[in-house]
Amino acid sequence: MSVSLILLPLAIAAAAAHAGLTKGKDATVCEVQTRMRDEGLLAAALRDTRAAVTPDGDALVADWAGVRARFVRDERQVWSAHFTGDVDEPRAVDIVRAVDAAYGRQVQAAVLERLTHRAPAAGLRLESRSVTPDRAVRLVFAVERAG
Amino acid sequence: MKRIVVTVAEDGTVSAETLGMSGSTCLDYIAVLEDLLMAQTVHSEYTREAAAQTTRQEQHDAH
Repeated sequence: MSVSLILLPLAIAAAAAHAGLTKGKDATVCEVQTRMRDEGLLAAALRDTRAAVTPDGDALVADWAGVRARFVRDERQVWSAHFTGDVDEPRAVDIVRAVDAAYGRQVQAAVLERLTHRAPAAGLRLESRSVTPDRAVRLVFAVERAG
Repeated sequence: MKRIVVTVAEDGTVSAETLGMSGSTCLDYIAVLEDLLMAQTVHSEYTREAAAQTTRQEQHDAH
């Protein structure tokens, strides 16, 4: 018998991203909710998009040319971004999409690292590893004993 | 041979399939995978192989 599963790493929230825009007197402020949870992976993803990243208390501040985003966590530990500077809603959403894609690659790398490191202790022997055309990584494990 | 096939997509989502396991063992490995991957299962289903085996078993039981 076999079963297929879809698993969501805890670093990813199930909520879909969405954006809302308000215009203040001095700046355009765009709030974009994300599916991201892990602070370290988010900081790495921001750097992947060539942002200068600065911790600010519980927040992360990312600076691109003319655009600043302040990432803060909600009660579900999901990050939302607060944009200021030379930015409108479409650009803010584009930036978050780029960060989200980079975040996904960071999660992929973290999951693969954790899986390959911890699988032997669970009685799983890696038989093969391959990359699919859509850049997914496929690992085949032989079950050698109960974990 | 029992196997687990894990596919980690570029967006960080994970799919997994167990092969050659009995039903109860399959379910045991859901928990193992959740722990290994620090993940929560959001969907699971038995595969066609499993359904075929179940059907064969039901037919066998009926005779």
